[in-house]
Amino acid sequence: MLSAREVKSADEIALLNRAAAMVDGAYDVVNQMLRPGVRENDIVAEVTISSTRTAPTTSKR
Amino acid sequence: MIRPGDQAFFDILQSFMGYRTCYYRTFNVCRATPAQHDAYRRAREWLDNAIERIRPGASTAHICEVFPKANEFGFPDEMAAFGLQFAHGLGLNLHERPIISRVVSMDHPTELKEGMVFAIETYCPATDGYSAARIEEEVVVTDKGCRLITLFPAEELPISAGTRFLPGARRGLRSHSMIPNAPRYVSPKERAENRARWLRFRLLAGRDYPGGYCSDDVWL
Repeated sequence: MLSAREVKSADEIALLNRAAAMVDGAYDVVNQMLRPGVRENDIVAEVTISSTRTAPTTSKR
Repeated sequence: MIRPGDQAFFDILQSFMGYRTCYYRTFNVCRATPAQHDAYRRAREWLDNAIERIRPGASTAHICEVFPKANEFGFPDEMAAFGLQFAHGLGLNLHERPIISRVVSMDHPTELKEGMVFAIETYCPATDGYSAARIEEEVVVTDKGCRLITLFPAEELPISAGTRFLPGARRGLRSHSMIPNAPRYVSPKERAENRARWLRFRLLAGRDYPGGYCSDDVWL
């Protein structure tokens, strides 16, 4: 089973690419928020918001 | 609370339709010391060397050769350093095949195929005793080589709220000139001293208290 998943199909590569694009957006949020006086938990909150907005999910993970 | 000069390490794990990301970046806030820049440059170089070698048909042992050995970045053996310098497949799970690491790939090499997607991570501690650089990028193996899919710019140490936005900041923490390509050697003894000095400073400065800790609070 593990060896069957080594090579990804074109659809899977597209999905992984889109997931990486979403995290590029999250890093842009990080870059904007990283300034003196900002709390780390606030940055985590904004990253979570960005991740959930780009990839909405019904279950809370 | 973030302060100028801090480092921030992020590993943002996204899940989209079940497909995961493993994407690590190191940031500095406002400014970075020469030691931090140097650690980042080394980590970046190891990562770039590995990415250059990726093509279909390449052996994972060949990729592994450009990874630093465990004692080159401060660990007693390969198993201790395993989680810091390796590549792992990525997909519905965070860690899939192939695994490229000095622990396994030298003795049990496998072959890379077109269509594989994996995340390569690398780590370099800085000579100041408390900083580090850690970078992770995802690549797709294409017909001729590979393609990066983690595109947030990280060729150099990213400095948020950097000197362009804060007038008065001078590049580098010290007043003497930086020597970017040939930093001076920091012996393990000096490194330990730096670490001890940093820990004493943390205790006295009391990051989270405006006035620092008062003597009653120190009970270590």
